[in-house]
Amino acid sequence: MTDKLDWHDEAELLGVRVRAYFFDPAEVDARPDFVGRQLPILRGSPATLLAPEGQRSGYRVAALLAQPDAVLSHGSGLLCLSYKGGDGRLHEPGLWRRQWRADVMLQCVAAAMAVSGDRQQPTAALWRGANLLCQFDPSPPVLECLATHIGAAQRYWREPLQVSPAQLASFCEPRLRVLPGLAAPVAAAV
Amino acid sequence: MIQVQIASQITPLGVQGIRWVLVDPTDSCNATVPTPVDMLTAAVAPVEPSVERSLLSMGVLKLGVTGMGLGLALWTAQAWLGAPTAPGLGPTAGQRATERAAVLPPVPAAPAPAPTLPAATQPAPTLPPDRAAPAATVEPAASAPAAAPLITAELR
Repeated sequence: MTDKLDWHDEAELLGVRVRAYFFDPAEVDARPDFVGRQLPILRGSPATLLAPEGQRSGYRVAALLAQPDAVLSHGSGLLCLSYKGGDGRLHEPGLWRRQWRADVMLQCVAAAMAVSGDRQQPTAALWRGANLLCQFDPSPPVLECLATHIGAAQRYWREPLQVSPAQLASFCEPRLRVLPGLAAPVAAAV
Repeated sequence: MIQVQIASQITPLGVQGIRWVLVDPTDSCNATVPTPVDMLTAAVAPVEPSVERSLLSMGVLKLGVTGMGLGLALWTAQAWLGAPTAPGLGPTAGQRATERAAVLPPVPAAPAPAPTLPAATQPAPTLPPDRAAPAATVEPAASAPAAAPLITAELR
């Protein structure tokens, strides 16, 4: 087993390095194990679910409360996986950047922040679509924006107790779009 | 501060490339926005006398300014558009007649028209015999022979 994963494509979208892995949903969805089905690029890896499949736990940092679809232990870190979001359509390998939804991406990053802050472990943010698995590597400005606007998003959405990753992402997306150097996507094939 | 670590890469055996960011645990609206219980408590809290006097004088001042503004608006509207004409807002009929009489030039009194009554119902004027006029003449109109006869009486 090599040290690098075989991502098919990579792009910088709104300050986040996105690595994409395309798969055949008919074949992958028929796999019996959770990791092989939801994380096909990590098939055979020692990643294990922290909670039983389908059971969502809450993770909190400050007022940010996330309930990701799955959290897996992977080596010394965690994998925060969302697979119920998005619109369920297939992504074309050559057009996936145009079909990309920044709000879904920022939600995943915010959820990973909540998991990491709650568990105090390094956490990777992943999203699994109908035929696409993505891993997000946010740049420092994106992390800074999300981390410093939790209270503002809470006040904006008038949530007295907590704010969800979707609300935080919706609040931060327009701010990230006006940050210099983040709006123009720079794509690079792997 | 709570530290958050986001892994920048995944390997088959774990995660790599940690990015750090700090989250302020006090960055929450709970610390700045009062709860409904707090707002209710503040609403029913007793008001100090100085604050009460200040509020009273402020209310009087507001009332005075509002009244002045309203009066100025009414005066301007009346000066530009005239007196109100809507029913119930304008002067009474007697006042209007008085004003009209005061404004309009006096019209010379026209001679009273001669009474035009049928002969059967017109009573004869009762005057003293010495001042009685000659007998009224009853003549049919030449241009309208079919019209009713007119009785013309001249009173002195």
